[in-house]
Amino acid sequence: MLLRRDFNEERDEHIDMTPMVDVVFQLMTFMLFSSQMTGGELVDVPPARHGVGVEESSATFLTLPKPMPGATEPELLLGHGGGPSVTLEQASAAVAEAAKSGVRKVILQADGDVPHGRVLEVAAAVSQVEGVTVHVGVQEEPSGAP
Amino acid sequence: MAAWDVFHSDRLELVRGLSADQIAAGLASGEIRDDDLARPSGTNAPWARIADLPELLAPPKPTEPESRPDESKTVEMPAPIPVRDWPVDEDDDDEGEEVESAPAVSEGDRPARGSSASRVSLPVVPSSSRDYGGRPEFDEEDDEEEDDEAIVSLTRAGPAKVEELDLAAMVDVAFQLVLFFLVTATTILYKTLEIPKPSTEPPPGAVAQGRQRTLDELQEDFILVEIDAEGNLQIDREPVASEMSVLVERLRTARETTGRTTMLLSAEFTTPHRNAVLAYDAANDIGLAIAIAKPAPSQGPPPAFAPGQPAANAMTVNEPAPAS
Repeated sequence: MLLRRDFNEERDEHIDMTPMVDVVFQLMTFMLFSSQMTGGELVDVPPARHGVGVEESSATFLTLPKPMPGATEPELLLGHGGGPSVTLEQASAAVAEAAKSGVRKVILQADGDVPHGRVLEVAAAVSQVEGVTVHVGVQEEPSGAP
Repeated sequence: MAAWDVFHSDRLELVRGLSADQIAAGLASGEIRDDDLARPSGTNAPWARIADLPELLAPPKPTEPESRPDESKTVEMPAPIPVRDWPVDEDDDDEGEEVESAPAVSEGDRPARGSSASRVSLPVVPSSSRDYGGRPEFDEEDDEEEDDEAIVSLTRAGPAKVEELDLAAMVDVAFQLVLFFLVTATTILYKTLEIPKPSTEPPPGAVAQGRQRTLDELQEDFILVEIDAEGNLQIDREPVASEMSVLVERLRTARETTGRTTMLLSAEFTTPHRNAVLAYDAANDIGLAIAIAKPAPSQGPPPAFAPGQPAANAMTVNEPAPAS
């Protein structure tokens, strides 16, 4: 079997990078979309000038979405808004479970239109768990705001 | 009589002061090969192959190989020069005279030929000629030939072909971007406001006293901020525009005039959350501690206020004991 190429055959000096470039662009697109998704809020949290940054991995998220018209009780969702609807007791249990593994912060992502009393209800319920601090999610003030 | 230096190119060994007949004997016995190099002793004449030196190749007698096998072993000794000059008599037979006569003749010819440049161009074994400067022309030619084979030419032969673009730079940039997104995606920070824990029970002091404090009593210790269900703000029972700058200014004035350092937020249950956050933000702006009055559900009994524990970064609010 002749493994050497013919002398006259022109050598191909370039590695074909086309598949690699394809993969790289796929990765880029994936990262772009995924980072947008994690940063995007499903609820319109109120704007605030001040605030502390909390890492996503160090907090338990509870979401209070915008109340539906006609709904008697505002919904409480576990996680970033895509989670299941839970009662106050279930939310407290979830927070307690997370606190056992060292996640001692709770972020209430409450929509600006949610009744403030409801937010405080949830905060009071989850703060029963020992060692937990409660945060409400805010967003940067829109540019151009006075 | 001329002496010769012989370089054994096979074992890279130099033997000085050999006579021509010793060389001839060595050649006959195989000790010296005709590829070995020789030159007159004590000169800088170029080395030349023995095969190209006729004076060293004087045809030996056919019997010489048998007659001098032992002497060829001693070729490496530097001593035998005097043997050449003296007549060899008893040991060897008369071939010695003839052998000796040949170098004698050649000795006369040698200086002329030894210095001639014609020897330079004689073909030699290339591998052994490298270390000796006798044939510069050959070395250079050989090098040039080898270089022609070894150099990889970067210029392409023939007409330049338009090939695909060089994608290496783009791949570099793409990887940088991927890394950037990887790093930033893992460190997403959520902007939050830490709120004090609302206590579900009335404060111990109030329980002990068996009554709940009214807003007027609380106003002595806290800057009272009330928000009604429509989002209208009141500071110390005076309406304020729901605007950040106005709110901050009023809170600062209230703090400086009365010395109160804690804001008590009393919002209706149905107050939109964003109005309460506006009040939090204003209090944070001037460094007020925050206490939260627990609102009663809208259908419930009249509001009972229970100032919560302040946030970790806020000042501790010491609930003053009510005057008896």
